[in-house]
Amino acid sequence: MNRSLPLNVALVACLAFFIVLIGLPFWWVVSGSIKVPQEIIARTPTMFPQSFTLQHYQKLFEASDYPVYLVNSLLVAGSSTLLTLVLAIPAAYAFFRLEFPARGVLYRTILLAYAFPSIVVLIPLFGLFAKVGLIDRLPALVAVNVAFALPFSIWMLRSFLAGVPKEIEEAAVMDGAPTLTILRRVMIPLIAPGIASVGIYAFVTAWTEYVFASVLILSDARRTLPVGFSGIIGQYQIDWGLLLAGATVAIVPVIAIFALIGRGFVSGLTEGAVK
Amino acid sequence: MAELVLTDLHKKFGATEVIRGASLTAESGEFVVFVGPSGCGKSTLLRMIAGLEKTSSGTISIDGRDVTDTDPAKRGIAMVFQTYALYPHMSVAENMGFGLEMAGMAKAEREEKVRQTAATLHLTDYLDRKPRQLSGGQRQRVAIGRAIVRDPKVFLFDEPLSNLDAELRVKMRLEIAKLHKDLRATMIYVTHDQVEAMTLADKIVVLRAGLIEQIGSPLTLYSDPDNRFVAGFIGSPRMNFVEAAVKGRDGDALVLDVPQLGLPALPVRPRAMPEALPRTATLGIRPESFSENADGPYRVTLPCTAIEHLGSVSYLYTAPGDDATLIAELKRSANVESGEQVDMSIDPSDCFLFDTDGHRI
Repeated sequence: MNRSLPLNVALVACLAFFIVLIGLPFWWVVSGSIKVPQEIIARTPTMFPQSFTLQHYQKLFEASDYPVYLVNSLLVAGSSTLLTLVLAIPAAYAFFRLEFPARGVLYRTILLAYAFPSIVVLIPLFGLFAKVGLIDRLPALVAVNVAFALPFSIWMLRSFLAGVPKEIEEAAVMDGAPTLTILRRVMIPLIAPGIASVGIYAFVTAWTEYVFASVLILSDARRTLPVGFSGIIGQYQIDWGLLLAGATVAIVPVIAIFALIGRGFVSGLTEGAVK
Repeated sequence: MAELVLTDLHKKFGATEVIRGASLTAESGEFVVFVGPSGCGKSTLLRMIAGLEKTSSGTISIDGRDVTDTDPAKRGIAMVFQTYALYPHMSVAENMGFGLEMAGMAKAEREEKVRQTAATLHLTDYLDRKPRQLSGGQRQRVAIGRAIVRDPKVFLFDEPLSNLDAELRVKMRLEIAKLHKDLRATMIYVTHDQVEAMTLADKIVVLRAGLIEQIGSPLTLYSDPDNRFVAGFIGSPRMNFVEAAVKGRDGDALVLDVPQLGLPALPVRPRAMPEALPRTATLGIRPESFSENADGPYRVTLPCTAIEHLGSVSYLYTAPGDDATLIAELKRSANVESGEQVDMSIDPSDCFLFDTDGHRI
C-alpha cells in the first residue's frame, strides 16, 4: 500500500499517542510496585526505578487477605467464563440453525438485558438472591456475571457461525452427522476465534466486576479482588507500594488468558474450505 | 448402481414456485446432466434429490425406494459441492473418512477404505495435509474422494468445475468421465457449461424457469431440439434465429420468404406438417451450417461487421452486440476482414422451424 509521508507521520503520531495513553499507567503501576516507599512518594517522580525491592509483594501475600481475594476472583471469573461458553455456544447455534417459533423476536429480546444499568437491577436481585439463599456466596456472582455476559456472547457467536460457509455444514449433513455432532466436530473448530473472543470478554468482565460483588458478598473471606482490594487502600492512609503490587498481580491472569486463548485468534481458519 | 426416478416434483419458496413439475428417470449407471441458464432451478432440483431442500410435492425414489422424506445421509447419495466444502480443520484423510465414521465404520476399516480411494485419485501423498495446503484441482479431487469413499448409489455434482481455471477444468472433466466409466455409478451433474453437458452426458435435461424443456442425448438435443429455447441453448455459438413469412407448401416442405437472408423461396421440411399453415415462422440455422461453397441453390450474402479468428475456424458477426446478429462459422476463409461481403450458401435440411410460441414446427 502506498501512503503519503504526511499521512504516515500522522498515523504513527496517532498510534504513539494511544500507546502512551494506555501504556504509561501500566508502566507506572508495574515499575512503582518494585520501588522502595521513599522513591514512590519522592517529590520528583522517577520514570525508571532507582531502587529495587520485593517488600510490597511480600507484604501483599503474607500480611494481607489478598491471596484469598485472588483465589475468589479466579474461581468466579473462571467459572463465569466456562459457564458462559457452555451456554452461549449451543444457544447461538440454536438461534442460527434451528427453526422455532418467535426465534427472531427472542433473539432481539435477549439484548434487552443491556437496556438497564446494573444498579437498577441490583436491589431486586438482592431480594431474589436473599430468598434463595445465595447472598454472600460466590455462585451468586457467577450467576450474575453469566447472565450479563450471555446475550452479547450469543449475539457475537451467532455472527461467527453465520460466517461459516453453508456448504460445509451441508456437507456434514450429507455425511450423516447429527446436529450436535456438526456443532462439536465441524462448527466449534471453525469458530474458535469467536469462542476465544467471547471467552476473553466473559473473563475480563467477571474479573473486573465491582458493583454486584460489593453488594451481594458480605463476609471478607468471600470478597473478590476489586472489592477486597479497595479495602486495602485503607481509611486514613494509603500504602502506595502495596496498592501498586496488588494492581500488578491483578493484571497477570488477564495477560495470561490473552496469551493462552489468544492463540485461537488465528486468521484464515476456513481457508481452503471453499474455493 | 441405482435407478433414480423423479415424479412430478414441485418446490415452492413461499409463493414462488421454483420447480414446476419435474419428472425424469435416470437409468442405473447413467450420467445425467442438468443444464439451463442461472435461476432455472437446476441446482434446486439437485438439492431436492440430495435432501438438502424439502420437496413441496411429488416423489423421489432411488432403486424403487421412496426417499422423498428420508434424511440426506440415508438416501445412499453423495454430493460434490461447487465450492468443495471441505472441512478446513481436518486433514485430507479425516475429510474423506468423516462420513464413514458417522456411519459407524471401525477405524481400521475406515483408514483402509480412505487409503484405497486416495490411491485411485492420486491423493496418497496428501492424506495428512489440510485443505488449505492443496491446489484447487487437488481440493476438488478430495471432494470427489469424500463422495466415492462412501460407495453411494447416486453421485450428485453441483457445478463442480466452475471454480477451476480453463485448463484444469478440461483435465478434471476427463477425470470425471473416466471415473464414471470405472465406477459405472448413476451420476447427476449440474452445470451451466454446455460443453461439459455435451461431453459428459448420456442424457441431458434442459431446464428453464423450473420446467424441464427437453430430455435427450446430447446429439438428439443438438440435432432435433423440441423448441427454440433448447435449440438456442445447446450449441456454441448459439443458433441464429431469423423471422420468415410462410408462403405456402411444396410437397412435405414449407416454402419460406426470408428477407433477412435474401432468400425469397426457401423450402424447409418441418418436423411434422402442421394442419393449418402458419403465416410466419422463425427459421433456425446454426453458425456451422453456413457453407463457404457459394455454388448451392440457396445463396446468402452476409456483411462481415466483425470477425473472430480462433485458428481452426473463424466466426463472422453481422451485427456484433445486437441480439439480432447473425453468426456464421467459416472453416477456410480465415482471410476475411470486417467490412467485406461474404458469399455463402445454406442447405434447407440444416434448418429448423419454430412457431411464434417457440415450439418446433
